[in-house]
Amino acid sequence: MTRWRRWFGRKQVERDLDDEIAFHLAMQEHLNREAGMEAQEANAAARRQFGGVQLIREHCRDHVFGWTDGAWQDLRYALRMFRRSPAFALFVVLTLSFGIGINVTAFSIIHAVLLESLPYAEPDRLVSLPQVGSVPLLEFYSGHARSFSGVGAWLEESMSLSGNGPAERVRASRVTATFFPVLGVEPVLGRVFVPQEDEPGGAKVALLSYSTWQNRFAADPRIAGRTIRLNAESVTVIGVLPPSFWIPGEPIEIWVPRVFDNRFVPLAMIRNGAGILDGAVARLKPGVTREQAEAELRVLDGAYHRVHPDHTSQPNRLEPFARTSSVAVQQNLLLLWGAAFAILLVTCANTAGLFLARATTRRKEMAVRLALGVDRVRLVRQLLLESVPFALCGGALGFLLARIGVGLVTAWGGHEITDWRQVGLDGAIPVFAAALSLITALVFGLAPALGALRSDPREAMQDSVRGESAGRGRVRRWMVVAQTAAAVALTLSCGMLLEGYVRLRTQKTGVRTEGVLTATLRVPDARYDTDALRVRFYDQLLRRLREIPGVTAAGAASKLTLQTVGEGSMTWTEGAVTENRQPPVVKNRSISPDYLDVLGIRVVAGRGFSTRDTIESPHVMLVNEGFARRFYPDGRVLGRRVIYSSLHVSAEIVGVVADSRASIADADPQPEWYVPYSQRSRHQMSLVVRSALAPAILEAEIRRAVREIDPDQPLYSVRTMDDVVAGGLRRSRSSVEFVGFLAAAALLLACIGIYAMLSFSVAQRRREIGIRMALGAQAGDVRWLVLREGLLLAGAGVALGIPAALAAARGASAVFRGLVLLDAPRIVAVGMLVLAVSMLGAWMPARRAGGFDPSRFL
Amino acid sequence: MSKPSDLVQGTLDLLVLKILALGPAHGFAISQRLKQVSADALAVSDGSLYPALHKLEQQGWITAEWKTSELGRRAKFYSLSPLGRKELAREAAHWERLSAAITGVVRLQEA
Repeated sequence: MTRWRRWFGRKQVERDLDDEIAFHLAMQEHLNREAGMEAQEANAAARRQFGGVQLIREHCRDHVFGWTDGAWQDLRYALRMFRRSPAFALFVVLTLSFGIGINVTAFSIIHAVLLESLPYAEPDRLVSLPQVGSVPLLEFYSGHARSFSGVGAWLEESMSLSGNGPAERVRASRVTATFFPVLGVEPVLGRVFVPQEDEPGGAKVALLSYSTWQNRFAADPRIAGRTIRLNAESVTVIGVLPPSFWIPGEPIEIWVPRVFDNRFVPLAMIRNGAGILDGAVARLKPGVTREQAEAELRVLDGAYHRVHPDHTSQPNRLEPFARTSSVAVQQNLLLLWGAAFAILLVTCANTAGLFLARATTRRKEMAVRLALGVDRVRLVRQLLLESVPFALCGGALGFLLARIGVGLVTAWGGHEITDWRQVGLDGAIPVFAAALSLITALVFGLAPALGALRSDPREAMQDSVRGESAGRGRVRRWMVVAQTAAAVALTLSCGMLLEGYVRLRTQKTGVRTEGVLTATLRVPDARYDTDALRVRFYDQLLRRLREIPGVTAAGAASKLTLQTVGEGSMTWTEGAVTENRQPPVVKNRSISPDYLDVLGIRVVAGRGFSTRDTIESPHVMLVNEGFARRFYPDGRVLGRRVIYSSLHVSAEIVGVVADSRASIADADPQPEWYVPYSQRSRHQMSLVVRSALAPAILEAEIRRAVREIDPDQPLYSVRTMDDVVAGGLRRSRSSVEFVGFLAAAALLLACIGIYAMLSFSVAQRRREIGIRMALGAQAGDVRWLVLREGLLLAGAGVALGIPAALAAARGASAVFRGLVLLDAPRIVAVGMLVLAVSMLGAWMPARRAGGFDPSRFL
Repeated sequence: MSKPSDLVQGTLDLLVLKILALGPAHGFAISQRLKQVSADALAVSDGSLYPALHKLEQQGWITAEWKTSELGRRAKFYSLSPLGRKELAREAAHWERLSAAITGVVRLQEA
């Protein structure tokens, strides 16, 4: 009979087996009776001689159906166990899902950043040339380097795109015509740039990224040849790039040729060697190694230096293109994975503990089975299989948790961890999750399985409780202490971050944010290349804005208060107190006269700006109180002169204004100075408009006003001031959320760890408890016995965790800005919280111990 | 009843094949023959024969058929298949070599 026939004719096969064995027994009985035994005795003797019928049947069945049948039965038994003790199952699945979930999160990120295949042809032949910043050097390498088959470069720029909807700010990149051929990228539509387009005066063309084509141009199949308006010029779209294509850095939406065509640096300076390129990439010729290329570049560099003496030779280490994330990112990833792995180990230990505790209650069953002659291997197999359903459920839940995890980590770390890559949870990730689940099942299922193997059946039958070897018990205890300490440390960190966040939110900003809408514009250099043009544009705009019914005030500034990140400008203060010879770097803004009014920043001394301060009138400046305190502690501020900008403009301080926080992420205000934008005009200004209108209506009005002056001018970052504040606090908030999530997980694990530990302990000490109760101990006394053990472990954890957390916080306060050390009462509160949570875990075993019936164990 | 010792388990297949080479038989008859021929030296519990029989059947060395037995009851009769005959010859030769080798060592005299 073939195996398949047997499978389908199961019932028949089983019946045959029964018949066969029955026949044998009948024959033996017959023989025995003929030998003179009584009927009953004959029957018993026959059975004795035969052996364990059930066992034999199982063995035969194994041979007939193969090992899969036995395995299937074991799995079904495991699922029945699930149903019988749902609390246990829930505990295990939750614990596992945390461990697996965190690891899947870490793996997805690592996979996206380090392992995912790059969207270029033969990516390992590509090297990046970070030292190439200037166009002449690029052309030099391009012409002379024999190790490379091609060299390309790019330069990122923000451009305004209009013509197919409202004007919008897009992230664009200027590239050499060699760029796409070097990378080996084929467009999905149309073509890439040709060398003629890379010449000065070449055709105005552009390539779209796939997502831009889909989102903004509705995936128009006839996009090639269409005209769009880019930076107020007509540009023809010649193609669309593949959806998988990206280069390191922020995602680029539009690509154009001619890197020297940018509007920040004049052509003459570019020709002279100004470093404008954001990056360069080269493709190694077949057979050329990176070391050979490096050697050649060193020679070429020397040659270039001889022709251009002010070119500084750079160490020419060639890294693979797009593969190397910065060292910081790699370190972050390593940290992330280390933490995840540690958590997984703790999880497995926890789960193994839970299973071990449960295994002790099944010792009798195992002993009986071993005595009956069950194959030990089979027993181990059954125990391992029992852990599989738990692991798979934990893995599935963990995978879902990983989605949340990835979102949290991306929000918290941003590009410092993910390097701008898109972290997806498809492809290799579910496979990894499944594999991890199975390995986890093996690891934590092994402990009770090995324990069962080693146990002596006779001992188990006698119910003698052999004390656990001291070594293993101690390890488990310390693990519980460590878990609790970790939970304490994380909760404390979360508390500190929360404190910092709250402080940032509640501390006075010095700015009135209600009812203020902001928007940013940047007028293109091409059409607004003189101060007069720029000033006139913004004057006109502000006038129109004030005319909008419902608007009480409108102003503009080069950088928005509460949103200013980054350094300021060098400032030479006359007669001021400065630390050293170097002029201080101070944050500053070019503002309209009404700007400070709109934001409610008062003038505390002297006067504010007015329309009389123009390009022709004397240069004036306003400073904030912080500036005055810092540089003029004697209090005589008004009338002093300050020199700023590379043109060495000298301005007189005519007023002092109240402090305000330059950035919402800084708790304290800093020194600042203001000049009228009529005297220092900018291309980019942020508008602030105070009104009673709804933001959506006001936005429409503002856009209309802008369009009336210049229809090609886009407006972007339209947000209320409150949103700006929220946005600035986002990083801080994400940190709190991320660490909070970890802290909650750690608390849960600690709770479960204590539960497992005490369950096991109680199971082991059954006899001792029985004796105590027989000698008169009450249920309450027994409960206290168990609770005390839990309290000791948790207490040790808390005692260790607090100093560790405080020490780490002091060290980490450099990285985590806004980590505020908590005061003693709060620290104690956190300790109490952790203790309480741990006691929750101790409660069930304690209750179970108190409910023991002593007679059962004596 | 304990499991048969490892040595016996390993050679059980050979013994069963040999017995069946003398003619088809059902499980009980095989076990009786085994006891008879080995004069009870091979003390295995009767039942342990059956997993071996089923394994041999799975491997194709023996085939089975349900027939009526001497007592009038239905019984499963096993017989040696051609493949099994070849396997028997192979294993018997292997056993001869092994036992000769062991005997050779056991009979070594001290120099």
